[in-house]
Amino acid sequence: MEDLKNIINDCASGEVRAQEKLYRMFAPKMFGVCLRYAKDNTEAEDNLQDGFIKVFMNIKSFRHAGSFEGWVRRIMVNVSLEKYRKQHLMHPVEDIGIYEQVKFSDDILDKISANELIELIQQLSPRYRMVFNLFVLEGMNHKEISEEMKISVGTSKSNLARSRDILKRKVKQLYGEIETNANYSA
Amino acid sequence: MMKDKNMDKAFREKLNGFSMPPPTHVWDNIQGQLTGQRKKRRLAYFSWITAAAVVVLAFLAGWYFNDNTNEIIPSTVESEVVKTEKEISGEESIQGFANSNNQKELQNEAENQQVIEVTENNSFKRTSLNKNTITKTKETEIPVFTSFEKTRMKMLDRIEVLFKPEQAELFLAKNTFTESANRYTETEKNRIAQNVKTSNLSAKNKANWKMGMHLSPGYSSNVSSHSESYAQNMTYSGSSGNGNLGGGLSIQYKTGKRLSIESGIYYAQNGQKSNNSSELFARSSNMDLAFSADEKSYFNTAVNVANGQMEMNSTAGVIQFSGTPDRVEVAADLESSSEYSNILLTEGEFSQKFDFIEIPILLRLNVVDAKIDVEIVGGLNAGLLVANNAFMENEFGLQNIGETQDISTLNLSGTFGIGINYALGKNVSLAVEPRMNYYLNSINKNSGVDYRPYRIGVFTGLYYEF
Repeated sequence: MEDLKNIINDCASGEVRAQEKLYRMFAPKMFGVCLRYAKDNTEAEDNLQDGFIKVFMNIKSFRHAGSFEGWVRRIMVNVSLEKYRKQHLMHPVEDIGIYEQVKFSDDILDKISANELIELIQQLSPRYRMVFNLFVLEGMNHKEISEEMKISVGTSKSNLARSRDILKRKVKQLYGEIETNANYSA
Repeated sequence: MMKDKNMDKAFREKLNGFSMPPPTHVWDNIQGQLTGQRKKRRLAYFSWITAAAVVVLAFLAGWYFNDNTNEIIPSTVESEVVKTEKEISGEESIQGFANSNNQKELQNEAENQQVIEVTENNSFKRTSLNKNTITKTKETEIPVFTSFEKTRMKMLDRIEVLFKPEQAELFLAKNTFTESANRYTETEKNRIAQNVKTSNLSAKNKANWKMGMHLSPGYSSNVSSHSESYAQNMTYSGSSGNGNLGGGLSIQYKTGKRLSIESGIYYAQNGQKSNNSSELFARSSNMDLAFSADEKSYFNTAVNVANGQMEMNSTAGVIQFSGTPDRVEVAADLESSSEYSNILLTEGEFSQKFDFIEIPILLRLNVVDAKIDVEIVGGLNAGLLVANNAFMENEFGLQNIGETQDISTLNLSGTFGIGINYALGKNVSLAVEPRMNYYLNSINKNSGVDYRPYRIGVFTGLYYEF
């Protein structure tokens, strides 16, 4: 880890080689993060690019206190959040609906690959995707999400329920016994 | 049925460690952007350094003139000093003569000598009544001789004692010299200052012409309004001002005691920036399109593409693009019925800049006439448009994208300011003049646009009177 510390310090003094090293170390993992937040690969690439620019511009302010990976990851999430906030200014109507629970067996998720899961997440609408990511994968609570996304706690909760529901259906469609609901459209 | 928590856990387990190598062009872009930013920063430093250097040069020039004028004052003082020195040397010779007399007399009778000495001392006193310096020497001399009288020493002793006072006198002469020099300037100082002042004043009164050169770091912005139809297709006018540097030459003619007329030739730049705005666009029909192209959360505005030309409504008027700028996307808005049926997407920031040569006719009223003069300045300027450019700035630098249409060549502006003038010497003064310049007509002829730039600048420079 001493090695990483040196690389970080070299990046702070603007060494291109160190920057490339750092990028090679973290890019694949962060691309994985960005992919979850984006609707497709192109958007994920853009966010990864913007995120790393931010990382290099602000690396001087990294105090070696917490995990560096966590710090980089937080920047990536913030870039995605920022873009989301810029693009989606329409204030959502409160949609606290109760949806019919989809029946789902435990072992079905074992079959599905991470790649396929990400594809399913990308198919979600931007808001559902954002809420799902922040809650499930970033471990934020609804209050934090409502502040970050400028939505109400209720909307956050219902969005999460809805996105879970949609994901379950999609997984089921892929692997489960095909049992399409004619009345439903995602 | 699977519980939500279990599902979340399964997702987390599958996705948390997930990694995928990004395509190689991402790193190339990052590198390009980082070097671009470095260049930009260097360029920014450079322009600041230039500005600072100009200011420093202006002040150095001021000091140079200041030093020249200072030299005149010490030269008059020096001549006074020489005069006192002469006086003192004259006095010293008299004293030397008196001392030799004393020595002669010492060889004679002591009683007589005493008398003569006293009379001589008296005469001394009389001749040097108006010279403070000599009286002071005398005062110390007298006690020496009285001590003589009292002790009635032997010849040798007396001579020895006499030598001592002589040395003391030398010392005294030195002392009195410096003292008299000081005293002289002290008593004459006021008169000298008076003389210098009157001569300066007379020079000031004589000088009817004044020439000036100025640099003016300033800030320009605008007052604008737009017709509804124009504004519908306009970029969000969240615009901000521009810092800039102007300057020029001026000439003043003094018509009365306090009033003078000024003209000259100035270069000035007006303009503004249109910012990236989160409120992206003015027209609601573009909303859907903007969403579909949502990875570009950028400056986003309706443009009109016709006959191979692209036009965009902006604060100061319609920008006519000379080509499609780099890193810009143009999307078609097929649902739109208006002529502005395309959307420009870019991360850049737009600025419109207009360079003017201004010829002013200004009146200056002197309100404080002293070492630091204060003047009120006001008048009109004819503004001749010499350059008209529109720029876009993004991560790839500043690009000239075209020009603004319908800008009038000849315009009228008003100026108001306060001039503070510090006399550095007889003919040269340093001027600091905060001025405001406001365009009285809309510089855009388009009926849908009312655009009046204004500028606040600090005119700093030197005046030369002749």
